[in-house]
Amino acid sequence: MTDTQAPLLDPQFLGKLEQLELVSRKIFRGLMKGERRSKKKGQSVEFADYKNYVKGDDLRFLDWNLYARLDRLFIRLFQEEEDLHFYVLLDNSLSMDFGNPTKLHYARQVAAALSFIGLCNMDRVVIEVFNDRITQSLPAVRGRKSLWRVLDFLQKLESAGPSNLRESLKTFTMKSSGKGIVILLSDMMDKEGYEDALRYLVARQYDIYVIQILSQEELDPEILGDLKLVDIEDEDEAEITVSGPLIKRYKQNLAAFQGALQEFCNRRGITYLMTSNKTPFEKLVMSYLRQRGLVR
Amino acid sequence: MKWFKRNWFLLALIALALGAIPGVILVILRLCDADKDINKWMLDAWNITYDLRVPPWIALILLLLPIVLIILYFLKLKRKPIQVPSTFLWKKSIEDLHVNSLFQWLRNNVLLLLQILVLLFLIYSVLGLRFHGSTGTSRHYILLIDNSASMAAKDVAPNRLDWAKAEAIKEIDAASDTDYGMVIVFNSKASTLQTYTNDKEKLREAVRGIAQTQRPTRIEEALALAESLANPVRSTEDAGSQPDDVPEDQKRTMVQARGISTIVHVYSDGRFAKLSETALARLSLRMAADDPSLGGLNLRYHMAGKSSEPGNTNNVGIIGLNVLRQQLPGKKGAGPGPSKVLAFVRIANYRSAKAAVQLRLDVHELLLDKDGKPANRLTHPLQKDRVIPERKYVEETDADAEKDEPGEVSIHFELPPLDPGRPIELHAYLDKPNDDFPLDDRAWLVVGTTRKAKVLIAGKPNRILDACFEQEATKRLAVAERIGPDELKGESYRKKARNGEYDLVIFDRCAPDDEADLPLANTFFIDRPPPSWKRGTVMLKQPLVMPSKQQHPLMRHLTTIWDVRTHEAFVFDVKKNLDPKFARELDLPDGDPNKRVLPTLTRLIETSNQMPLLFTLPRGPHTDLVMTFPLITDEGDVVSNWPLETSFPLFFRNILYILGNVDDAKSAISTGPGEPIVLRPDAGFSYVQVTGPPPDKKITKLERRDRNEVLFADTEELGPYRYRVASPGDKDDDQQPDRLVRGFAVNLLDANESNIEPRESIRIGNVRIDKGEEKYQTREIWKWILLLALVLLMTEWFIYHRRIAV
Repeated sequence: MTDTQAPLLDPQFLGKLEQLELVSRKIFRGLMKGERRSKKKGQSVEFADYKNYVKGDDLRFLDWNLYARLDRLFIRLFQEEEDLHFYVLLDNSLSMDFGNPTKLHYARQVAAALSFIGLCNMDRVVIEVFNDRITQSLPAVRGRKSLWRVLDFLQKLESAGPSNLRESLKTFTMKSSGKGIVILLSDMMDKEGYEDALRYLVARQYDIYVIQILSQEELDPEILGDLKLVDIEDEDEAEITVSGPLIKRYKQNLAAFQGALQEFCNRRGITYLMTSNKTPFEKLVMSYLRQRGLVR
Repeated sequence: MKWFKRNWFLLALIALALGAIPGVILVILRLCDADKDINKWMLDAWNITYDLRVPPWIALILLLLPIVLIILYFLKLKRKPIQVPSTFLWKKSIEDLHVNSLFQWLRNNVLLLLQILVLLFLIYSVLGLRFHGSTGTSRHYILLIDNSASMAAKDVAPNRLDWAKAEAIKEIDAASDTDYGMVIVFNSKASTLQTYTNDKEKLREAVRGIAQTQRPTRIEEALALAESLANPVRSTEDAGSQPDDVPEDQKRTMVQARGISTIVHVYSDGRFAKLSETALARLSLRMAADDPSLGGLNLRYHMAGKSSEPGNTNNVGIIGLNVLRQQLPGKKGAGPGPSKVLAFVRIANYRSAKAAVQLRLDVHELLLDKDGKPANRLTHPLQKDRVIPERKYVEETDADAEKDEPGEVSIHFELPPLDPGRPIELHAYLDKPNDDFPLDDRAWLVVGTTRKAKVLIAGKPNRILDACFEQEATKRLAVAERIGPDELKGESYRKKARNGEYDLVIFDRCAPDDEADLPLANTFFIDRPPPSWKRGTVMLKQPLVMPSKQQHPLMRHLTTIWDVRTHEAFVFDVKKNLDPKFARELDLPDGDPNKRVLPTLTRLIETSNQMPLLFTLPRGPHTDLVMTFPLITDEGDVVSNWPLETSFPLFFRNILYILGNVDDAKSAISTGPGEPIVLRPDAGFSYVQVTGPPPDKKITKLERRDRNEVLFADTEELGPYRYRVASPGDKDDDQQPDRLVRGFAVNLLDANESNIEPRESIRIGNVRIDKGEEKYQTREIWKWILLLALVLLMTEWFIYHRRIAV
């Protein structure tokens, strides 16, 4: 692909992204102190509350002034500040290598932009690349300094193999321990279905965002004649004779498929967003994802 | 059932292929020109024949089309592979559409079958299969097309004849393939251009081939021809001839009158003379028109021409031109006086207003030009101006017949004294008539010279004959030579006789010994039969003389034959008196070249007991006149009172005119277009060279045969014809300046033809036939419809398999 070597993010856009931060509707515990206030009471400088001392509590947090005044032991609780797990699940199956720019390139751009936002906010960014299994992973990175690592990782991604959402996400949920935001970048065109795969994610109580990326050719096919359609992933063939009714039917099916996916996501608190490779990804990040509340 | 459902497409394809095989074989056989046997076999077996209705290359394309179609169909199945991210949604869509699987079926299979079926229809339709033998449904029609002179009028574009031809072709186009048509063209004569056929192309070809003539119109012959051809099966013993008063027990079972009900389309301007009663008597038209089921003709009249204002046609024409030569009495004993020639010209005006005309009459002298070709020299230009009264016209009503009298004047010119020895050519023409019909604005006439008979008299001196031939009146008509009876055996006589140098040879009481010595001329035997017969010894004494055939030209003006007396005459019987050596030849079998047939004896004068006294015997082209009694005996005694009767010089004059071919040039030589004319130059010529009228000046050379005359038939063109006569010794390019140039003229001179106004109705006897509606052109459209269906099917196939709109 010609656009694999193109820079994923341009500096101007990076400047805009710096102003943003990732928002999680759920507050998750991180291993390291981050820049994020947790629902948990923890070890930060911001006071949150008191609680009665029970045996075993850390004596360092006893409020000695209160003990002197009330002769009772109270433990000072502080607002816990946590770092955020930000998982990017990127589909690199062969079907993503389609369109101009390719869906994969588009997905990489989105992944890069969101990762950058996460890095800037000291979030723990993890990128998992999958097709029918998880093929490549970028171990958790933090901090702005890791941006180049992320970009380098994304830049080197190639499309390969068939997709299997279910297996891939199952593996992902098994191996990842932390909770956090999961961004799933895929075309969701899995003949096995996406339901089971998403259920695995839901079960782990991630804050899930599904961004379905489709190419313009899929949304509005401009093909003519008697054709043998060959599936790029599994070589499956479909013989069609393009006609008005068939195209109409295809579009109806596509709309129904998107509708079903959206319905599925809404019911499970998953944020669903459909985009095409022709939608400028800056607009997607700055406008659509903001509206969905992923960034602010 | 399940098996059938699965394989129905294949079965249908096989059925279609089987259906195609006979058609394909027939087309291939026809393309290889080997269809005769199969056609014969099919005709015998099923009464069917076929022929390709399209050019062979189209048939070949048609033949290949089904194969191409099937190939295309299978090519269509070979789809272009294209990679897509996922076939997931596509498969779902196809499955959804498969709910309408009937639709898919149609698209994939039935369409192909339909296309092949249409092609099969096309192939079988161009085979032009025809059923034979079922004439019940076929129609018969005859196209009678007038190509007379008046059809050249240009009142309908481009002219009437072309209009008529176009109309006739429309009629042919409108006929079905089983209809039988015939084309007859008529002018002064009628001829069949195409006999009954259902091959429309032949009929069209015949109609297209009709050329304009300058002849007048006579419809009788055309109608008679049409009728005879329309009813080829005629029986005198059909029901129509059954007498009414036959007793019941004697009645015979007779067949019904057979005939074919035929529609006759007459394309004409309707200008022909009224049909005579004799012509009508031969036609059963009057009856047939009332009852076409009798197998008669059903006449439809198509008026060629445009009649904007009845009774007013823009035409002024010469309808008569004649001359009268009068011999002025000369001084006593000084021979005949000068001849005075009067020329009469009749001019008719067909306009409803008076017409002022300027008539010119040019008198030309005929001569040879310096190239030796016949030419003329204007000697007297004459001119007269007249105003012709208007035409009187009353339209036909139910009570009264049409009244149509063109304005007419007769103008006469007195021609200046002319050299009686030279023929003159008169050319009468209207100067600037400004009318629609130029053919009748001119007329010609050739006033010939006297043609004298060359007569040889063989026999002993006869003062009666001498007196006859020495008369001044006879000298003007004949030149006589005399020889004795002995000279008949001489070579000089034989040579001249065999060359036909005489018009008439009179054998007075003598005859040549042998048949072979008879001259190539008409003869008059006095008191002797021709050499094939013996003069009988039985004599009739003082027979009572009675005329037998008074209408015979030789008996013209002879009213006092009863007064003729003769002393005796020999008895003649055409069989009994035949020379015995020839009598044997009568009994030879048929087909023998030597077999003799007795000539028909025509009695002119006979006795009271029907013994011939004066009779003719035909001899090839010549006539032998035999008189069985002498005028004078060898001793010089007159034995009959006939020479003293007034009828005798008249009889001799008749002999000279009829047997001597005398032409006294009293009447001019003229004929109608297309009519043959007999030219009789002086006896003993070798050939006649006729030069046609200008501008073509077509030259025709006519060789003399047995008779001293030639027949010239190429008189299609109007105008003056000139000819020169060559003697046996002349060379072809002989240029003798004093050689006589003769001529004759071909003129229209027909008042009916000059009246170019088309008739709204024509009359055949009592039946009036009104003009019919003009026919609109019909075309065979089935081929186009079939072609359109094919194109539609193909287009539909193409469009359906394309994306219409997304």
